[in-house]
Amino acid sequence: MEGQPPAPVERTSRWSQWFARLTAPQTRRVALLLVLVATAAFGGLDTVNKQVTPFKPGEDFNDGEYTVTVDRARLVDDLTGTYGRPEPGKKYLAVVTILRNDGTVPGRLRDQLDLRDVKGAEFFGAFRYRDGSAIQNLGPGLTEELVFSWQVSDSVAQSLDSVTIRVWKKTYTQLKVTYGGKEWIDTDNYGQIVVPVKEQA
Amino acid sequence: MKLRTPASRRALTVLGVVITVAAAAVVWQNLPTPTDVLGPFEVRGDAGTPVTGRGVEATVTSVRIAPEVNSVKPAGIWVVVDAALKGTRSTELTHSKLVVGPNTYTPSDVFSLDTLFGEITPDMTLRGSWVFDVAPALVAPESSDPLTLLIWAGDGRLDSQLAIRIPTQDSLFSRVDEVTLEKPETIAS
Repeated sequence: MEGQPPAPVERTSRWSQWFARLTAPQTRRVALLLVLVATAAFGGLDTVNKQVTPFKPGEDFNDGEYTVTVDRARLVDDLTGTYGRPEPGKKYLAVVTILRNDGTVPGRLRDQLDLRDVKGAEFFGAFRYRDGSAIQNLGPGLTEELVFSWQVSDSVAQSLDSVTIRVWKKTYTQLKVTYGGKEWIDTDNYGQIVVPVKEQA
Repeated sequence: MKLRTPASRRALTVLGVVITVAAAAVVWQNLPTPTDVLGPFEVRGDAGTPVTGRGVEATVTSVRIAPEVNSVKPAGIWVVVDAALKGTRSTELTHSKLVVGPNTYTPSDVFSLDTLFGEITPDMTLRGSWVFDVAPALVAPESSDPLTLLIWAGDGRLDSQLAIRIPTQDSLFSRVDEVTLEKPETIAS
């Protein structure tokens, strides 16, 4: 009887050689470079490090779509002139902000201010400061003083000395999956402001 | 018989991969947008004359620029577009936008009960107004920016969209101190 065919031994050897070549530092570097070049052609990889721009009350912050100036934050029992009456055991946290739409299309206001780390806070609405009317979006080239409001429980309100708000930077991007034209889409970068909270007398 | 050496085969493989990835990237960068594929078809017309699309017929009857509407002041300036709408074949929910120069505006939500928010039906004419809050510089007397009213029914996909040009030097166009809105009314055509 003839000996066993040598193929398995050779194949193992070939695979181990191929694997050794693949894991060689030089090959890894070339592979990484090729992957980066290929992903760049499709728009590139997302950045890992978020850029945070701190700003202060009264200072302008441009998020691409709006110029945002956060003025003050107050805890109030009712939002005078609006339809707002808080549920029992709750107050309104109202953040007075001046917004200017720098784009060419109407901008939504619902998620413009991202309130952070206030337990149980529920967004209530955005209102015009001058007459208390509700507002859903702001047209291009227009400036409006607005009140962004959230409902918070009395117990949370008592310990609220300041609030942290993020304003996400945006890019005007063509939608590719869902139907629609260009939309302002949040990026991974944001401006952040800490606003002192006062109880309205 | 082998026509190519292993080295040339490898080179051809690499070249093939590079060409395929580059071609895919070119296609990716030039993909048609959803509105290229499913967007509306424009039906152009002028204020003062009926403009008819698949689901809606519209006539812009006048345009007024005013600093106050129903005693309410705008963030910019009010542009009140008076129009008559008619359904052509079925009940439809209509939408509008006003394009002024480079900017696009949606109707203000301040007067939603007094303006043309609602459905239209065939053989019935709905008369009323849309009110837009517009940056004042775009409709200043010396401005040459054109106004175009866009009207469509439903979500507009693969449907007609009326684009009605509104000349600012026209008898239908006026500047007034205040506008009092009349509630929309429906009358049999």
